[in-house]
Amino acid sequence: YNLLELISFLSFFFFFLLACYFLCFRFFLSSWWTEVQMGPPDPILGVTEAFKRDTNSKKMNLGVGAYRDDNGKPYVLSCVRKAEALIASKMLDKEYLPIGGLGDFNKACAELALGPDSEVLKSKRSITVQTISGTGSLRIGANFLSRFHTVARDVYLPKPSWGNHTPIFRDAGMQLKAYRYYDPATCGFDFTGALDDVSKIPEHSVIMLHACAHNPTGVDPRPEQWKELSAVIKKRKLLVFFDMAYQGFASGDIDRDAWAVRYFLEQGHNVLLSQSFAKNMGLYGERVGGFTVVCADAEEAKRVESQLKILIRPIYSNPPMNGARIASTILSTPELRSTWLEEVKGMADRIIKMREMLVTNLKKEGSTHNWQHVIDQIGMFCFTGLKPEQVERLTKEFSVYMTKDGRISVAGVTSGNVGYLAHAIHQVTK
Amino acid sequence: AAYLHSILNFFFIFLSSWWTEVQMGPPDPILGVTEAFKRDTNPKKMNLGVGAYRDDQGKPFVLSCVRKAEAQIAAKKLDKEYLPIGGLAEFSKACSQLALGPDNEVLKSGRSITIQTISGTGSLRVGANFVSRFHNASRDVYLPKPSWGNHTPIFRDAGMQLKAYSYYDPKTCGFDFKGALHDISKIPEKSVIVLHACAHNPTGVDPRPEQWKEMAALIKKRNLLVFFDMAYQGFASGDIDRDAWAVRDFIEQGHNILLSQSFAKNMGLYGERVGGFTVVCKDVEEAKRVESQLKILIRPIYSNPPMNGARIASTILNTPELYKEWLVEVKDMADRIITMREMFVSNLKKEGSTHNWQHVTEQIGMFCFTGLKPEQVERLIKEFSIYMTKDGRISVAGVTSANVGYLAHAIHAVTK
Repeated sequence: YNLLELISFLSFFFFFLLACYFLCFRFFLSSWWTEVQMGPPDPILGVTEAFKRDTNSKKMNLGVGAYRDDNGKPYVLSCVRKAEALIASKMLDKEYLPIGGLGDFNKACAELALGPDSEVLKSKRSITVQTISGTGSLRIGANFLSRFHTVARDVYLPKPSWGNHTPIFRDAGMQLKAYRYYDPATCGFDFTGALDDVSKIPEHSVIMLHACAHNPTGVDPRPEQWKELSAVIKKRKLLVFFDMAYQGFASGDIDRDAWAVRYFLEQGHNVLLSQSFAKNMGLYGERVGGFTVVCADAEEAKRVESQLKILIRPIYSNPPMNGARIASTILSTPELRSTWLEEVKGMADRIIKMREMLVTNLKKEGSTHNWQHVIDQIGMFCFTGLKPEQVERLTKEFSVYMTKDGRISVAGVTSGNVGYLAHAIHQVTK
Repeated sequence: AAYLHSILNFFFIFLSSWWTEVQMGPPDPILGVTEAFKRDTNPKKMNLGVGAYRDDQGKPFVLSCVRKAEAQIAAKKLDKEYLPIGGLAEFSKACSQLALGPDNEVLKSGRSITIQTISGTGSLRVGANFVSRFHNASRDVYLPKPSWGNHTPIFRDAGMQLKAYSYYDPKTCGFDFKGALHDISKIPEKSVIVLHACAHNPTGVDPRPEQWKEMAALIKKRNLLVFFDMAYQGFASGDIDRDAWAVRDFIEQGHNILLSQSFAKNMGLYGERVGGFTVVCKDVEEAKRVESQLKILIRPIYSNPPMNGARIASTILNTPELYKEWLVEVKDMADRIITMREMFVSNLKKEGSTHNWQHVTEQIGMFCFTGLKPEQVERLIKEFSIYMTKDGRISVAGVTSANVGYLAHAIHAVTK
């Protein structure tokens, strides 16, 4: 009996000690981040990850938002390689850039978008700062709006828009709203719907416009449609924010792709503008971009510049030098700039060709659907009009990977696989 | 004519602006120093505001291991595809190993997450945003008094409240250990406390190991969330392990810290923007959750980080000969700074100064809090063309064997 008592006492004591140990140890090693939930996986990354796991030799990754050559390989432009060699030979130092970035880059970046004869540039009534590619530019703009555009909190995005626009503006403290844009019935531009929605947007709201090669639909307004939009937007007194991530990459012509931006400026809109050199110069991972605010006059541009610097300094102090040096060298060295214009046209042309080949092959397969939108749409992406079930079949039965909304990256199509793609799409749509 | 006038009016009203209410912001205090320096025509002028290393000729210094790494990278003809949101994996791994030591239990157990960031500022801001979003227990961030000027807007713009604990003792130009302990003992539980791992900016005053130990114990008792800012590993003492000692000791004592690292100074990669942000977690599972949220936070700020600097740093850290060369070069930079401190003090004595300049050689890293008063600083600028920030902080990196005599002479003139 005594032994039993002893044993139960000892075991209780043992468990008591264990409990104390866990309490103390766990309390201390207990964590700051217990409440942090696992975040949802990135939708596009999920596509690439599934693609990587697939062992089918015919597999195609049409989720990738990066240009591929006709062998399906990443492409570094030759003007970029030449610029890099030039830069390397100068043995430049690595001193901090100014907060607003490389001066020569900013100047060339603004000229590229606005055109060298722009009245805005001549009167010095704009400020352009170097940013961390397009995303960094949009975020700086969003933060600037949040801090200084106190008359309105609302940002109107086209429906649909690039997925990252929403968290960019939301995390900056703005409210997201939408205006009609894509018409699933035509796989084209819902012009009437857009005008209708835009005409109802409260004054002074921010309206985001994709300058060219709308992401994800590839559907752009025609010039006469842009003109009407400009007039309505002016009437509604909206603050225009252009996102131009594909200048040169859409039509192959940098001036044509910037037409809407320049037209709006001529019409008196003092726009915000984000530019990216990720696609048109293939500088993806170097993170090269610009953010521009068109102001009333030079004095205002100075005030805005000072506040942009105050905003940027506590985010990353000053931007990365390498990509900006490359872009600046290309834009301001005549031979390199010529080469670049050819190469960007080459990329755009390959994309256009793949669109045409896809439609031709679909017809050859015997598809009776109207695939005109594949050719009408422009830029890297194509909204096929495929439904989620069809997308799933493409993935499962044919190892063709795309996002659930039926968006394909035409950059992932090659003359080697366009036939297979057409065959697969025909199978799931016939 | 009236019709034309109304058209012009409409146009003018339309051209009237979105940004009328935007005020001109105050000029950056440090940039102002450099701008005034540039305008000065005195051939003996010295810029001691610059927060970047200079060699003994006063020139920017690109490390030879960096040039070699660049050549290696160029030869590989790598593409420019986007990095993952969290950056270059080989870099992040080497970055955390450098800070924590390769045999660290934290790394072995996989219970930390390190992501590549846009140098130290980018790291601190990601950390500030993370704390703002997920550390709901407290809004308060405690900075040492004084701290790097940019800490304040970083945490404030991220939505945190700034508070301070005593740190610098102007009477001794040294560490106010008692004051620090006293203030820390009163910090509400679960607040965030920022600690400079080594080479405190702007004072150059670091706690001694036994003082760090007491602080670690007290901070544990107060149950505070520790955020280390390590911008000068290797650059402070010349020894990367010694400079990381406080970070490693805190981890050993059970603090699950946040850590910002910069390679701007110790690898001279300033404008390439190379840094890391680390969260030490309870276990691997938590590290995964934290990682997922860091990515969600970063994606709408800049999507993914710049590749060039991370490739350079990664090549150096992961290539044995380059790593060795780097350790030698970073020690040389630290040694030159230390030599300048010593020469500065011996020159002051030669000038006949009777003040105690001991703090100049006791302080460590790039900066030195001279103890000079604003009026004396102004005289140095006006009469001697020696530029520094109003708080009397000099960048020892701007001192060379050629100008240290002039500097000592000038300082003696305004302090005798």
